Amino acid sequence: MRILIVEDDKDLNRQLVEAFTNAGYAVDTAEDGDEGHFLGDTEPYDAVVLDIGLPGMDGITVLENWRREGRAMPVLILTARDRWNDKVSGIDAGADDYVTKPFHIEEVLARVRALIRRAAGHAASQITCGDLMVDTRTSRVTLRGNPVKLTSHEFRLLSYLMHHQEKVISRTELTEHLYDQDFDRDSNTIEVFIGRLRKKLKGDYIETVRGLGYRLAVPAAENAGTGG
Amino acid sequence: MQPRTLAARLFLLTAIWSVVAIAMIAFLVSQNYRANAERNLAERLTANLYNIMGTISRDGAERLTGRPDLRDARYQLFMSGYYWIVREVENPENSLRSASLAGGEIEIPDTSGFDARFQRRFSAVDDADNRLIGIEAQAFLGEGDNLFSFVITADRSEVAQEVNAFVKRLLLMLAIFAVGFILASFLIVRIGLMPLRQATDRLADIREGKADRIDGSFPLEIQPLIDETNSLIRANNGIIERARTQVGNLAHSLKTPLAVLRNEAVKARPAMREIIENQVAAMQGQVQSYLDRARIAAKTGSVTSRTDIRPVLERLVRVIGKLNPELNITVDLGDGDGIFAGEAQDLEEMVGNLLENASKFAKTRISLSTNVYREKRLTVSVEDDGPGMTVEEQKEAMKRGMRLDETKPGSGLGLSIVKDIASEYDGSIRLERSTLGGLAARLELPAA
Repeated sequence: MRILIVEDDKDLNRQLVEAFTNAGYAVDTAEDGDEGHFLGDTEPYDAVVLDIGLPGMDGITVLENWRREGRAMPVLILTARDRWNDKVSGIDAGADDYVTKPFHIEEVLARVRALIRRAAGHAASQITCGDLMVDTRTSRVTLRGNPVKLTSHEFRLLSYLMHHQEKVISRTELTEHLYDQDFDRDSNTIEVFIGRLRKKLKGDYIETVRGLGYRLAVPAAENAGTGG
Repeated sequence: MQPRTLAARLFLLTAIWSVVAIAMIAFLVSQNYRANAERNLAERLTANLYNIMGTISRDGAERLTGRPDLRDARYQLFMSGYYWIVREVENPENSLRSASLAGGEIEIPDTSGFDARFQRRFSAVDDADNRLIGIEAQAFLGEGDNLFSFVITADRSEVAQEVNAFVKRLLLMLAIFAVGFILASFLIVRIGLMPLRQATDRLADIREGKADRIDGSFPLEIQPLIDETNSLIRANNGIIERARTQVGNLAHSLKTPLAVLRNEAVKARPAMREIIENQVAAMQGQVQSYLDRARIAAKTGSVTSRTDIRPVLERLVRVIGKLNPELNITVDLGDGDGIFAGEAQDLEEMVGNLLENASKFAKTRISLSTNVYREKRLTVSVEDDGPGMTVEEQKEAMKRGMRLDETKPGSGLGLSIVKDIASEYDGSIRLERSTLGGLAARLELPAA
C-alpha cells in the first residue's frame, strides 16, 4: 500500500513516515499544500493523510481540488480544530475521516487501515482468501491457521493483492502502489517478490495473466476441495 | 456629602437656590415695602405739617393761636405718639401743641441739618417710650421776622406693624410658591433626565445580552455619549473577538507539538514515557479548558439567536453516515421543524458529540429523534444498540475529561462538554437505557 502524508510540522511528519513505514506502507511526503496537491494529483495513492493547517494551499482547498479533479482515494484529515463545524466542513470538502490533534500515531494507523479496507470493500480487519488470511491490524499472515513469515516487501505485495482479490493487477499498478516515488520503477523486483510469495504460500493463489499482470484468487484445487 | 445621583444633585442645587432666592426676594420686597410705608407716613406727616403751618397764626400779642384739624383722633389721644408742636425758635415758651402732648415735650436730637425746604426728619422717644418718627420745619409766620419751628410726629410702630403684617402675608405666599417651585423642579429634573435613564436601561439590556448596541435617538447633549458608547462596544467586541481568535490559534497551534511529544514518548524508557505522557495530558487539558472558556465567554453578551434544527441535524447525520458507512442511522425529526433558541454551532457541538459517541459503541444502528413541546422546549434523543452503560458509568461519563473505555479512540466522550453547553442554555442531558438495547442520550433544550 502506498500512502501520501502531507504535514508541515517536520517532527510530526517524520513520526508519521516512520510509523507508516514500519507498518509496511510505501510512503511519500509533502510539507506544504502545493507539493501535497501535486503529488496527490499525479501519483496513485491508496490513502492520504492530510493536515488541514498547511502553508501555501490549505488542506481543505487541496482536498476540494483533488475531489474536483476526480481523485477518489480515501483521505484522512488531521486537524487541530475539534469543533464540529470544522469536522463537518472537512468531511464536506471530501474527507473520509478525521483525527484531531493531539493524537496517538496508532489511531492514525488504524483509521488509514480502515479507510483502505473500506475503499476495497472489506469490512473486517482480517481479509481472507480461501485458507489464506491477512490481518491488516497486526500485519500477520496465516495459511490454514499457521503463521507465514514474510518480509515487509512481501507483505506489502500480498496485502495489496488481498485487498484487490479477483482483480487483475498490472505490474505498473503494483509498482506504483508498493513503492514510494524514489523507487527505481524499471527493475524487475516485482517478479522476484511474486516468485517468493508463491513459494511461501504453497498454493496457486497468485495467477499470472499473460500480458496484463497478476490476479489473486482462491486456487481452483482448494475451491474444488471445499466444494466437494 | 456628595449626592449620589445626578437627579439628586440637580434637585438639591435647585432647592438650595430657590430657598436662597426666595429669602432674598422676601428681604428685598419687605425692605422696599418698609421704605415705601415710611415714605407714605412721611408724606402724610408733611401734609399735616403744612396743614398746621397754614392754620397757626400770631395774635396781636405775638402769641401763637389757631386750632388745626388734622382728622386724626390720635393727635387728641394722650401719649399716643402722634404729636405736633409749634414753637418760636428764639423764645420756646411761646408754643402751641397737640392735645396728645398735653404738658409734655419732645426732645429733638440736634443731628441733621435742614434741607432746601428747611425741613428735616428725626427719630425720638417720648415719655411713654414710643419710638417716634418726626418732621421739623422752620418758617416765618406772617410779616414778622421771628423764626418758628413746626414739629409733627407719628408712632414708628405704625409702620412696623404694617410692614410685619405685609411680610407675614408675603412669607406665606412665598412659602407656597417655594413648595410649588421645588415640586416643579423635582418633576423637571425627573423628566429632563429621562433620556439618561433610558440610556441606562439600554446599557443594562446590552449587559444582559438582550441587545448588542444602543438604538434610538437621544437628545443632542447625550447623543455623542451614546454614539461613543456604541463605538466602544463595537471596539470592545472586536478586541474580544481578536483575543478569542488568538487564544484559539495559540491553543490549536500547541496541539501539533503535543502530538509530536506524545508520539515520541512511546520510544522513551518507561519512567520518562510516563512523565512525558502525564505532562502532555496536563497541557492538553489546559489547552482544552482555555478553548472551552473562550467559547463560553464568546456567548456571554451575544444576542439570543435562533437555529433551525433540521439542517444542522441533517448535516451531522450526513457526516456520521459517511464516517460510519456500516451503521444504519434512522432519523425522526417529528412532525414539525423545531427551532433551537441558541447558536447553530452549539447545537452542532452537542448533537455531534452524542452521535459520535453512539457511532463508537453502536453495533448496527443509531437512532436520532426530536420532539418539540408547547412549553418552548425541544428534545433531541440519540440512541444506539451498543452495550449501553450502568447507572454508575452514566454518572462517571458526565465528569470532565472522563474516559470510560480507554480502548475506544477519541479524547473522552465529550459528554461533559455537551452538559456544559446544555446548561448554558438552561437545558439538560439525561442518559438512560435505550429500547434499542444500548445507551439513550436525551438532550432537552429551549425552543424558539
